[in-house]
Amino acid sequence: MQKNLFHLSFDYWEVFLLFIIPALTDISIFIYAFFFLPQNKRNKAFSAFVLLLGIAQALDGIMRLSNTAETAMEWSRISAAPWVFITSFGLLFALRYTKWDRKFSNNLILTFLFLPSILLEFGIIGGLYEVSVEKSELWHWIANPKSTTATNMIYMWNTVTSLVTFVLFWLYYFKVRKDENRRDFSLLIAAGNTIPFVTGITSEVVFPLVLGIEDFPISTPAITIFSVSILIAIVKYKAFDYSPKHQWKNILETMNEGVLIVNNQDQIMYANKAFCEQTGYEFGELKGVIARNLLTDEIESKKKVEQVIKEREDKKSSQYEILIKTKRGQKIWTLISGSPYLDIHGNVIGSIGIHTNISELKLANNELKLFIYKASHDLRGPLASILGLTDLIHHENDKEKIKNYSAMIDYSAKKLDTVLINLAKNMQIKEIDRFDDEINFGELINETLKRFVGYEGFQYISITKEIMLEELFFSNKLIMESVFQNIIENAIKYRDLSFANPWLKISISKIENRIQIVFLDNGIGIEPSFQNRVFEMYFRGTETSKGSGLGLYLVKTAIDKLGGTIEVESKKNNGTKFLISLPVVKSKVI
Amino acid sequence: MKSMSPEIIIIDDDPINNIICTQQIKRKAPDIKIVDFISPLHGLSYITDEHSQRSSASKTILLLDINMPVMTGWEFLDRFDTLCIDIKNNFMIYILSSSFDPIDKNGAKTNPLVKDFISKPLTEGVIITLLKELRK
Repeated sequence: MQKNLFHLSFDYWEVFLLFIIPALTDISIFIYAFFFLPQNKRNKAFSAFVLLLGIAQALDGIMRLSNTAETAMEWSRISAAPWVFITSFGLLFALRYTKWDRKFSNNLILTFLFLPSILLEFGIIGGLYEVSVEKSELWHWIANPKSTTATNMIYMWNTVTSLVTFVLFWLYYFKVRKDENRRDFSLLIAAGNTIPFVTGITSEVVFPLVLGIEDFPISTPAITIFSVSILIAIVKYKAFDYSPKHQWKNILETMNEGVLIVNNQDQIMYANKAFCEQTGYEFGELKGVIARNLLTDEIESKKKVEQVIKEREDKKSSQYEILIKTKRGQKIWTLISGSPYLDIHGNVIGSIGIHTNISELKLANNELKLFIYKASHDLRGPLASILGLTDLIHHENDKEKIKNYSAMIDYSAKKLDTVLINLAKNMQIKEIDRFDDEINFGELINETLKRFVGYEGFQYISITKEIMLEELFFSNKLIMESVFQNIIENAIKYRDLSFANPWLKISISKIENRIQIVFLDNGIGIEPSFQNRVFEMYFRGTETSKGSGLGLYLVKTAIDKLGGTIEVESKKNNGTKFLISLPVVKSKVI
Repeated sequence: MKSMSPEIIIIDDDPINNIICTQQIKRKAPDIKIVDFISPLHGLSYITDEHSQRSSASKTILLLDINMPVMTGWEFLDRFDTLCIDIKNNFMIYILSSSFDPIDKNGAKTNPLVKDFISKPLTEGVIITLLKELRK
């Protein structure tokens, strides 16, 4: 018997290859699954399945090399041995993968699956599995099981488990097909299972029994299609990887925060897209660079970083703010949430930091602080006056005087109101993000002037406009109104009272692709030393000023918002010229 | 030698505040001379003109606003500092402001010319303290 087993020759090596190539493939997949995938119940079932499959395929291959019918018979009986387990492990894998196993106890599953396998295996070892071999032109040897009770039971078992496996995979696919993440691989696995299943039925049932064609021993090698499809599902679609690791790269590249990883020598090892955008560098320029060199000369930030590096060595995480220098030399305030970067053994191999550009936030914070203090003066001034005046009224009996005081209260309240209205307008302007209003300057000026009817001094000033603009101009109407309103108001308020004919000339033209708006008046003018301060918040340039100090600040905010510039030219007692230049928005944004 | 009676000078660009201050002080001390200016420059020239001939026997209180156009309270104090020592010694300067800005309050504390910071509006209690100082 022993002697018979090795009566082999390689005369039929091409047939051998048909079996041994799938066998080697399956054994390779086993090595990958067993040694390189995380070991869990599902992966273990899969590993056992592919290992046994590989062995069965190899044994089938060896059978084809037999020289004698006896040898072939022995090998075909041996090769049948793994099968009762292969289909059981296949079903076990299907149960684990589709999570049907959660519906039953583990013991029940294992008993139900493997008790029959073990019993049947005893039957095979005990020689109850019977085959007959016959010579074949194409396949050298063909093994045909004999229809005995034991053999039929073995076949029945293999068929039933395979069928249940097949059904489970498709049920799972129909369950998850709407889930974008699981749709592709669940289809792949179901299809990968179906191909050998259909091939097996065709070659072993339809061909010989229905069509009378010689048995085609393709079903065993074809099962490799199934194991390869699972491999693809694992490797390409990360089917079994429920950690978000494979998603991290996407998130890292699309997030708004910069991510920077440095090694223990502070050299940059990784920077995501957002970090590169924040700093203006390409990743190629950053790789290997000492991260500290991106700091500005500011001492506080440098000290902070030294301290942070020590913290990381002690495996501590922290949050801190530093000034970073961009490629263009711009300084940006950055909030960094940093953690030590550890290898799998827990050793510190660097540091990882999430960088948020907080420059705007810092600026806004400062502006807010300044605003509150400044506003406190401007809001509290009139309020204090009102309080003082009511106190005076309390102690006053003279009706005329009381009348006078209440008129002053009225004035102060109106002043307060103006300040608040202007502050609200300023906020509105800052939030505007739509610049697609068609601006008709003629109409805009007329509408603005209508609002001044009844305004003190308006009737004395002559306002002329000259519009030399042929094409349409698009901008934001609210912003443009605010600009015209405030500058016209100033021209009225600060007209030179010693002149008989105060005037304001507004001219609008297009010069080199920019809209130019000029306001020229013959008013009291602005002292040269104040000219660069007139756009400051709460700055008032004259002693006769009754304004809030917000008008031109508002104009400046508006022009900034439009991406334009404003300049002032003036001489004391000799009129003022405001020159506004605005970029042309080419077409209406739809 | 001119009048020797105590005097209170108010410099604030807000005329309403000046009226309130004048009326409140008058209520408590009808005999005190009160002068007010909405222009710091006018105030300064008044001080240089009127006070250079005064004896040091009587004190003068100056209530000074900070946030004024053309010349701020601080700029006023810089100019005031250049006046002769006799005038300066006669003056007790108080900042009278509605500002919350700590820069203004600290400025008032650290400026050797300034005695204290008074928050608007000027109240009866404050006036009584001021008058006590004046009559010391």
